[in-house]
Amino acid sequence: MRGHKTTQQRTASKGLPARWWAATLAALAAAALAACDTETPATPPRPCEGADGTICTVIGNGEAGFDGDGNPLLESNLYWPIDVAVHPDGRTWVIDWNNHRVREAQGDKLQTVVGSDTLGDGPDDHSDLTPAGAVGTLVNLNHPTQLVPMDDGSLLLVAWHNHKLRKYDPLTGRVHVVVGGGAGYAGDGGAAKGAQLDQPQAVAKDGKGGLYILDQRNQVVRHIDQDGVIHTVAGTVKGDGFAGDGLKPLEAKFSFPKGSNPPPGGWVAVDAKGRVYISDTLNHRIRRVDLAAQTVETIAGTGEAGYGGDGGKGPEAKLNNPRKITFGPDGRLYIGDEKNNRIRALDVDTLTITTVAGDGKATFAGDFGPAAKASLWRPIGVSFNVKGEMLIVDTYNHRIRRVIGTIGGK
Amino acid sequence: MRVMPNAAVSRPLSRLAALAAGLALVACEADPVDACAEKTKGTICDFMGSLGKSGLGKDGVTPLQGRLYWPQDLTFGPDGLPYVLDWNNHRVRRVNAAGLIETVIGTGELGDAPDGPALETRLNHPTHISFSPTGDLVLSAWHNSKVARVNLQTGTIKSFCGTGGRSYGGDGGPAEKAVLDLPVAAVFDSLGRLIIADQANQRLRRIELDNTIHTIFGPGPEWIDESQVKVCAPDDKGATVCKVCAKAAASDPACKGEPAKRPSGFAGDGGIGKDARMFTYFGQEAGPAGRIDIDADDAIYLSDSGNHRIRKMTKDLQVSTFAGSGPATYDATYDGGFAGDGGPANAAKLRSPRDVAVAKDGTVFIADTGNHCIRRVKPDGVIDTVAGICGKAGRDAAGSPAAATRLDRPYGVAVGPDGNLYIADTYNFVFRIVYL
Repeated sequence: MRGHKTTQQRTASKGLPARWWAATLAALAAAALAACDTETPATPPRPCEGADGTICTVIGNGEAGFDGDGNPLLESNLYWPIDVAVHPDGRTWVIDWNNHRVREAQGDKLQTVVGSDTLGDGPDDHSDLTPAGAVGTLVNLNHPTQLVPMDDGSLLLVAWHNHKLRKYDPLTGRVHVVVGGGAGYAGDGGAAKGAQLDQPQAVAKDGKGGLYILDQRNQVVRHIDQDGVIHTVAGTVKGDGFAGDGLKPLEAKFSFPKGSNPPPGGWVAVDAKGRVYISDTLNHRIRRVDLAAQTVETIAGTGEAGYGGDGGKGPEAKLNNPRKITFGPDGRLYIGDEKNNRIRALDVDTLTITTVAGDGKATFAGDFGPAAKASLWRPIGVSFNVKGEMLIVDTYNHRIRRVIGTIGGK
Repeated sequence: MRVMPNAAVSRPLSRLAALAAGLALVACEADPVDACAEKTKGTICDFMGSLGKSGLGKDGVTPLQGRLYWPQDLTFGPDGLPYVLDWNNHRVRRVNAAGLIETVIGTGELGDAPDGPALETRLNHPTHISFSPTGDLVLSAWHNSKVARVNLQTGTIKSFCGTGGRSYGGDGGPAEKAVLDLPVAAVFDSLGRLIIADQANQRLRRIELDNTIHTIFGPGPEWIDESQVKVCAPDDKGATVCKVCAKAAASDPACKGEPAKRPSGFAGDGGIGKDARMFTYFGQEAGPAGRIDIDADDAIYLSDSGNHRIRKMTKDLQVSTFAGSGPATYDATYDGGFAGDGGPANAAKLRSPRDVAVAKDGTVFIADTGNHCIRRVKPDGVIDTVAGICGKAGRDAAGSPAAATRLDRPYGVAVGPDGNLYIADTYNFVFRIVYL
């Protein structure tokens, strides 16, 4: 937009050659442009290097918005990112929640791979309802919440406000619907494809070819077995509350955000023994469900929103709006303790809980220093890259941050 | 184009300094071009937001330093300030008396629009603002399925129509117990009654002075509601026989069928509102559609988006097509078009118009969203284009004639107290002004 305003000056002055003037003016013009063009960094970004435990930003310039694709990672806008996914081959995607897009880090650039410039539900021609699906960038999304690498190399996209699970094939760039239609609660006992979900927020692989779904507005966990049949396995349909510790999973109650327009909440994870972990967001607890033994227990959180208990046992500690839960390479359960502005880690055997990142201050600070002294602002997501380093989805800072150093064995 | 000053300068150094200063000024200047500074008639200029950059931006900055995300519409308050629907930021913002962007409703987080301090409420995609006769801001909290009142002095919000449940119900009862489905806009008539465009319900509803709500447009006596199903099957003689059954009690095999659809369609021109049908989008992918405005004679103008028309309903509820044309019954394959400038408005073609605004002199502006342009119908009934290049989406900079500047899916249109035209250039993330 600026080009049309520059005026070419051909005036030569006595004593100095015309090309001297031309060169000087060009330099001045360039300097003038550079001086006020705040989006051009004067120096290359500082590399993310340092001692183990050092935190630095790897994606996002902190500005909430969408400023186009193809920008350098550190100059890209995100808007309330909620999750980050890492493929075993190292490729990394951000769920850019309020931009309604899935974006991939391609080299140094960020690129949309699923989602368009329009809020919606699928492509206009509905070609995503059957395989091979629709080109990802033609698929309209409405607040996606998670992306999970699957064993076949594809990724499962949790299309939260579309009430669907979609499959994204990074080889073809195409997307198709695998579970869900309109919002509802239906289909148990039948094929998952025709089931109805109500704002599914997260999924976790069961380790046997099946999948658990945190079906938020239905207030339950559902399971798709390896034959593709769906069942409700924990929780009380539409019956939010707190109940069930010591009871059977289908007698339990969880509390995920409800109402007609809830924010996302709840998450699900599975351990190596096949036990199911639930981030019981509004109960400020982490629950554990053993479906084989038919038991439910609280393994972190007193139920009161707050911060405390590090170094002690999980059930005596306080959480505040826990969001994503995921197992780290050390076998601990990592928790996006959103409203504590911290990432917590819970040993699911000893139940010892600690803080691993965030000083609790809701601001942006601390890059290139130790993660525990850095400030995160409502971090919802936490993931691990192929090196075993922690990636923090620093949601309200609109950034993805990385903690240098492999999280070791325990 | 700005022309550099050409004054004679005797010494090279001072000339150099002047040129450097000039270049810096040109390079850093935010206000694009002279035609905007001079408010040349017919010129389109950016009013608020950053062209092509979506986002939240910051409060406390000038309108052109801020960012918006899919802005939907704008309304000037009795205080003369513009209040804007910053749709994907889930906020209402204004340009305050100091000339700076200020959020007035919503935290930006999703929620059910709880009553209380307006800055703490949580909205989901608000779409329209009007002002009550007493000066309260009336917000159509679209995806919350509520209409709420905001007292700008106390900064509190209180819902007064809609339970939040997305369905249809409550006619004949008090407004607060009504059930709405995506109320997209609400305007007051001269008596102080509030007309609500109840988008997904395919109805216009009106809150009477006794606070009861009634349907005044749509869907006719043929309509059966969603708790029922209508099943048609051939009888012994091959004639089609239809039966209406309660969905819940549809054990009769003759009553197993498709659930009834929404009461959408096209009907009723030449008749009264309650026998008429509109088509405003519903379903999972529906965007805002069907906004309304009202003229000095209490005639309501409805952007009947799916019928590619502007419908008009007079004070005595007589319905007609005011602008646009199309098949005699609703046809899903008819996608509207662009035609008819220079001729009568109701012979022209529109494509998915989403908003309408009536100026003081009776001129009607139409956000011809699917055509990426703004159409104008003058009081003599002739239609033309005032902004955008109809049929061509694009992202053109400010400073040129409006009718040669491309827009991208403009969802909202308004006339300011200054008589100028304001456009929500939604997918360019800016509000534009056209000096008239």
